[in-house]
Amino acid sequence: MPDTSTPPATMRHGILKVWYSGTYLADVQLVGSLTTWLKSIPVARDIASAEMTAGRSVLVAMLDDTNPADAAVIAVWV
Amino acid sequence: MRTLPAALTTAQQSATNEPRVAVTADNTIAALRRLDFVQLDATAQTIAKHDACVPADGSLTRVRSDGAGNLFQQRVTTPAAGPWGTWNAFGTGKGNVVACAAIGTRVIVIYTDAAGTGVKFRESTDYGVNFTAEAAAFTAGAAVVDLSVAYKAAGGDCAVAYVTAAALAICKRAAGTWGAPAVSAATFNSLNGVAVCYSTDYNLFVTGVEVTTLRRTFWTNTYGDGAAVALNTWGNLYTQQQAESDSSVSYNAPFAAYIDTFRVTFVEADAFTGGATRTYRTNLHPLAPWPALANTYTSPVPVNYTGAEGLALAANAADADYMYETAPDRVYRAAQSPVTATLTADVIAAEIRERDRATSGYIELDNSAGQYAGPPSPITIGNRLDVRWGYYTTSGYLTSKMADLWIAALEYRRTGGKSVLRLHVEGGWELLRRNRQRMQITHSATDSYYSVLLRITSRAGLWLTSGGVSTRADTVTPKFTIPAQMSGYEAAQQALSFLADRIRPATIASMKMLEPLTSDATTYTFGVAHPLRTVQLRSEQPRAAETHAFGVAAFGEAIDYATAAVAGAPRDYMRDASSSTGATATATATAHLRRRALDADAGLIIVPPNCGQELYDAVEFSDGYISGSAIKRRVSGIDWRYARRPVAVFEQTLYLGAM
Repeated sequence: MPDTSTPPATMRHGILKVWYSGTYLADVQLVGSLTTWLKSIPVARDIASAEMTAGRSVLVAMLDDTNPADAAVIAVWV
Repeated sequence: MRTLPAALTTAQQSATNEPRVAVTADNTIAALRRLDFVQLDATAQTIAKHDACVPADGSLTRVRSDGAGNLFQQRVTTPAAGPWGTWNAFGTGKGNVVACAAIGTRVIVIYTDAAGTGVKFRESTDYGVNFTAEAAAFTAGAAVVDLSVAYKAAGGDCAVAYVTAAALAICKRAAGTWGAPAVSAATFNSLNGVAVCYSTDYNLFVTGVEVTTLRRTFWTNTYGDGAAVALNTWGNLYTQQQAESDSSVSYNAPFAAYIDTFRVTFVEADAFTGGATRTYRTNLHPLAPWPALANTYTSPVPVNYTGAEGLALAANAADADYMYETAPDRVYRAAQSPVTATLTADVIAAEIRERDRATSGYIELDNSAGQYAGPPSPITIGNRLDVRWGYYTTSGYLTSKMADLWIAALEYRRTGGKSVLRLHVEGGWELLRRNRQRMQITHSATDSYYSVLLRITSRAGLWLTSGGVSTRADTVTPKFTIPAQMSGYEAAQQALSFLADRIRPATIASMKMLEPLTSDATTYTFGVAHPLRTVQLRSEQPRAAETHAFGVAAFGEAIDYATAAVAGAPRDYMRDASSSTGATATATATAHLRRRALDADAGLIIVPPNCGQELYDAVEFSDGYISGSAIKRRVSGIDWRYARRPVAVFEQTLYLGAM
């Protein structure tokens, strides 16, 4: 089927690597990426800063897979 | 459309000529000669710096350090038999780095003194049988961490590339005289490995840690010999593999050989829980010019070898004999020779479907005598098929070669007393579908859409060429990041959705990118000289009437008003992170609207095969029952069909799209 328009958003499981509380940004290792991380991904403001601990699992909503700036961390757990 | 000889054009326009489907298999994966390595030796040795080379007599010379200042050398004249356990003491009280190279009768061994700064050499002019006494080559500015040597010419001109803790340098020998080292101005946090080979410049492969970011990196670089880079000038450093500073991943032990193309091995050491130290192979497409840009080497392929110092590559470039991969404790060998099999006489059926972004089909071979039991080499999954369509002409059999195909699956069919081997085939897009990125690739602000697509295809082993790409593809530099695990196909789709351009597979494992224009000239006419068997001409709405591009605080739109006036005409929207002005967003919307217009289905025609037909060609036909004037459409898909039985078939279905 030929392409239509912007692809649908995707949800990816990630591991929190670095948390920047001042800017509410995070570096995230997407599961499946052994060597490189997504840098400075916006984090939902309703997530408490104290919950953003390196090594925790996060859910990343990617509005455009080829533009990490168009993504957001929307949940954190474990 | 591929250019055809006049006799073939005449023949394909005659309904009575004998068809020809010529099929040849060869041991090529993507564009690269397939090397099936066989292990010759696995004698345990201390794993330390090492190297190997092959002079013109076909003997194999290996050198190694024991990491304690002792050097060893080995020459095996009949590698198939060995012996591999005997090593000659080559020096004591030396440094712990060593390398070698060969050309013609010459073999040179390079190493350092105990201090690590004095670079010494011993050389042989009788294929490595006898070596000169140790002599000084040059003095490095700091202790050498790794070095590599490559001959330029049989007269003995060569160069030693080396890395110190944080500097890359090279020192050339010309007419028997060593010059002064040339240190690269590039800065590094640290370096641990270097390999050099010579094609038309000195081509370097470097591993270490990037300055500032501290990312572990595998780079390529060039020291010019007047070809791609000016004489005695350093080229640019290009990243080919990279890992974050806190990823617990590092790269080292690069080795390189320039044979049919640049073949490279390196070690990736994964220190995280469950990680492994392993050698990987990668290569540059044979059509790719040097210097290769960043991220253009093929996605690395793991090798079942875990030694920390990797596998050295050795081959006699002047002799298509064997290629070796060696380590202190391992010797592998693979024949370099091409293996081809002509299958034409046994082809009893063929059906190939070429579509926008997909190629599939099969070739059926008569196996009534069991001649394909096994199957015989080189008929195996992954190998290339050269398929040509043609006719018997006044000049004998003439054919036209279609885009490369590769064997995707083998299927023996036994029914009703018949025995057939069906070779399922695939094309370039399918290679892209399987090519998943090992790391996230963030393209720089200077990479155009064409450059992004060139690297996507290159990592899958395909080479992208321009068949007249759009100005937009060549000049717009998008923000484009390819996440790890995304397939090359998905990445290409994403990039292409911002362009009106199309990409079609071609020969020599290449892909051709072009912009279909409404003004494109007709490449072939059916229905006059060339018989037209069936016409199904269809008119439908374009797939989109409006496109909206939402940029960064910018909006652009493109509207096909005539289509929009029809109820139900759809609207596409795009997120366009690269556009920050209304004009650039509008250009994105316009390109996408054109792309969607080309997607419209215009029906099909069935004809005796036009052997040179390619996707996206503009073709024309006439039928007075449909139109009083010639009908011009673009080829959006091609079905090729050939069968000897039960009913002879030789025809082509051309799926049509909008101009």
